[in-house]
Amino acid sequence: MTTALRAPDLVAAALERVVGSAHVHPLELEGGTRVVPLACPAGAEEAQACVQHALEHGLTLLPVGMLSKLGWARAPARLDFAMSLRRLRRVLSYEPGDGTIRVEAGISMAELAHTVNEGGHWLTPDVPCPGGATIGGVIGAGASGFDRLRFGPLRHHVLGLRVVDGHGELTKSGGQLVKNVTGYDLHRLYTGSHGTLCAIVEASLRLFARPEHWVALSYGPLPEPRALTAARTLLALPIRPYALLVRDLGDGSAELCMNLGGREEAVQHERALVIAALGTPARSSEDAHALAQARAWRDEGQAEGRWPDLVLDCLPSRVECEVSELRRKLAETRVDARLTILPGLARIECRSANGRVPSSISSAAPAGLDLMRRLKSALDPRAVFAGGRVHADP
Amino acid sequence: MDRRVVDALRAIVGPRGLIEPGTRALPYESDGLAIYAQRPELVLLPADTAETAACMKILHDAGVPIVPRGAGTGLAGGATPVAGGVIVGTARMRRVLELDVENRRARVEAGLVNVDLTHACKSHGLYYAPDPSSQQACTLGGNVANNSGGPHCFKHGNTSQHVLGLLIVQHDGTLLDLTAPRLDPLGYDLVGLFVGSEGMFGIATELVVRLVPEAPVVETFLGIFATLEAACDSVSDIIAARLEPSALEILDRLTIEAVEASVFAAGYPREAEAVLLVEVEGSEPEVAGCARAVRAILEQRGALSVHSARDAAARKKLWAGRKGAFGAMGRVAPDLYVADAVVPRTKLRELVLRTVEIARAHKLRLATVFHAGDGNLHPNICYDRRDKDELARVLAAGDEMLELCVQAGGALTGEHGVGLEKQQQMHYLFSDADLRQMCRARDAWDPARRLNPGKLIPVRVCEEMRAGSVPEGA
Repeated sequence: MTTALRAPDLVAAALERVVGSAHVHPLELEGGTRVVPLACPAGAEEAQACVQHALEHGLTLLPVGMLSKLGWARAPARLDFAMSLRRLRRVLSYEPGDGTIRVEAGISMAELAHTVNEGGHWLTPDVPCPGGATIGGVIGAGASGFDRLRFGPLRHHVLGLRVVDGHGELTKSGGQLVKNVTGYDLHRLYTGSHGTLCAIVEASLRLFARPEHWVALSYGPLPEPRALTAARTLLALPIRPYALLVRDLGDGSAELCMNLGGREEAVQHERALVIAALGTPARSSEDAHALAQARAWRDEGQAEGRWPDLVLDCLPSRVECEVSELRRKLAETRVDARLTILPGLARIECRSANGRVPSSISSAAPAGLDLMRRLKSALDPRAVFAGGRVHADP
Repeated sequence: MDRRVVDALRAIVGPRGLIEPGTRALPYESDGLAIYAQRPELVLLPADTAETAACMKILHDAGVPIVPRGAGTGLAGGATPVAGGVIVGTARMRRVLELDVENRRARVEAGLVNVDLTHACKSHGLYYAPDPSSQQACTLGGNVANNSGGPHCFKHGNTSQHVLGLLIVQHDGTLLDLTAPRLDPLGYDLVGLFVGSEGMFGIATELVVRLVPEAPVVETFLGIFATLEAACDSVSDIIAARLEPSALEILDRLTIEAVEASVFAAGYPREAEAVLLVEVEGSEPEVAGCARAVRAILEQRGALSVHSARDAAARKKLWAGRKGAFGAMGRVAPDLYVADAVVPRTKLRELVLRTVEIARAHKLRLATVFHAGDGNLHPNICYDRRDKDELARVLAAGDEMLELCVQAGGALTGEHGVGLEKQQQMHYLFSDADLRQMCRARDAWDPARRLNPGKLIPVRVCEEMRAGSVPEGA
């Protein structure tokens, strides 16, 4: 394939023949310095045809949803076109009595959540700005939700996937069953692979009971160390919050926030335990107000697609030390940053004012990089899916 | 086997860690699925990760096939030796290396028996949630290989949801350390892919696992039913009502009779056609609310009686029959074929009854005990493997049951794995393209395909891949 044949206008013209001219658009990347065609196939077979076209012509593509999580991974090393699955929006199978759902990859998280809420279920992950995210994109990014403390990570609830693989074939792993160990869990590999191994066209998910009642509580402003100590107290209680976070108020103080949900008597019991341990909260809300408050915390800082510049994980017992160490490094490097601390998950998210955190603070290379390279090479031998997303080469 | 290789291996593991063919090697000829048996060339029982790695290097250089093994309690032939191959067992690696109570995690060796981890952390109010029926004997490493489940996985999830990290000895003896404390994988989810890979990707020698705090209140219900259908319908109703108990288990009449005649007798009424065990856990209001709803459903479905217990000793007694069910079946027949399939939970009644019909058509005795809440059926066929005709009927019935479950939207296995047993039925669920993709993933971990060869993926698919274009980098 010559460079000329990879020119964006020629690629776009070829893609128009696959998906129709109305469904190919220019996509600006990296602040408009790079423009590639964005093809939007109508179904799994058209998505497969796009991948086969790329294979045939030595092109490299990036599967995307609504592009909200493009910045979660590195920019692709090479890219000839992007393929959005956003037109694949059908609910393929939803049996409320079974507590599972199978959908096409392009359905928005908001539409999906609405569908399962109607059936008495709760969709995890509860991601920020769900109207601008697709389930395929969320799975590709491995994005767990605001409710992770209660339900665990997204990868535990993806029951199965159907994908267009690196050989241009439609393949599946797992199924629409809450328990299933038949074959290798390739869907675990695809989840969080940032589009480097396949294009997800269908997903099956486990659902949970929709909470009857919500409570949102917050304490503060408090000095950050006091907020972290209070969080530690809460985590020792027999409660199961949906979310627990320490918000950086930007003036050296912090606010401890939590979101409880479930059957009303259980939620009120948890609320009473929290108040007995920490006293009367500064702010408290229930039901629709509590849910709205929780969503405001969930979406904070991410409304414009702004994801953390740095995410630090540690052992729960190390959270206070790690926060203190990070604060020291940020001060040393004069980076103006806000932290969101998730003490129950032992995660610290850092958002700097200018979007840059010095590499000396960033984390190291992953373990198993050689194996990741071999997996990439075995599953996508012709590098049809854009690499360099999860690390320099896979 | 080349004596120089044997001598080199003996020099690593010492005389206790090497068993040559003979009487001592007999228990290694099969796993819990005794209809498949093969003499191993050698059994190696390394004492730690370093010895495992050194052995794997020698076996890699000598091109010898390897079958990893935990306690050999698997029920799908996953640990059956392969001709000309060596067993590498983890039975001597049984230490709890670190019990981190504050962070609710433990680092353990792969040969640690499942229940021993809960014993080790119980005094701290913690336990290890996956609880296969064989938990008194099975190892955590074996649980990782099969992504094992158990009654309480209905709420807490299979093994994969409890493994935080792994130290893996790869096919060539090199180590892959995936134990760093991270909430999400940095790069691809190698741990998630490894769990359930049935010993074909490497040998996990150390595990970091999540420990769960004991619930403040636990209540166990025992519903007695005049029909198996009513018990199944109760489960479907509980799921449909969005109730979230921690376990939902059904035992049928033949199982009840076997249990009550055994040392595991739990006081189940012998005239019952089915019993349903439901466990609810959480805070007092959570348990009280869920318990009220569960009791109402059981009564609405015509339960003859509903017993409940909160006291630990009384709950243990209610569970005794379920936990001892497989042992008790030895009273019914010398052998037990434990089928394992999964079905959508809305179709429990229909499919359980169809498995009964299939067994009847093949003139076989069926004792059903299963994880109803997960839709994980275990139609257990009682038989005598010395009777060749009966054995043939058992295999035919098992195959029909699997095909039925897959046609109804189910899968081949919920917790036992594919192993040798269900390898040929993989085509019921997966296309050749699906299976080729699995082969490619395997080739990335083990390019020479020496780890547990001939398991899980139908050999024909693998051979076709070899004959055709082998993926670059494989």
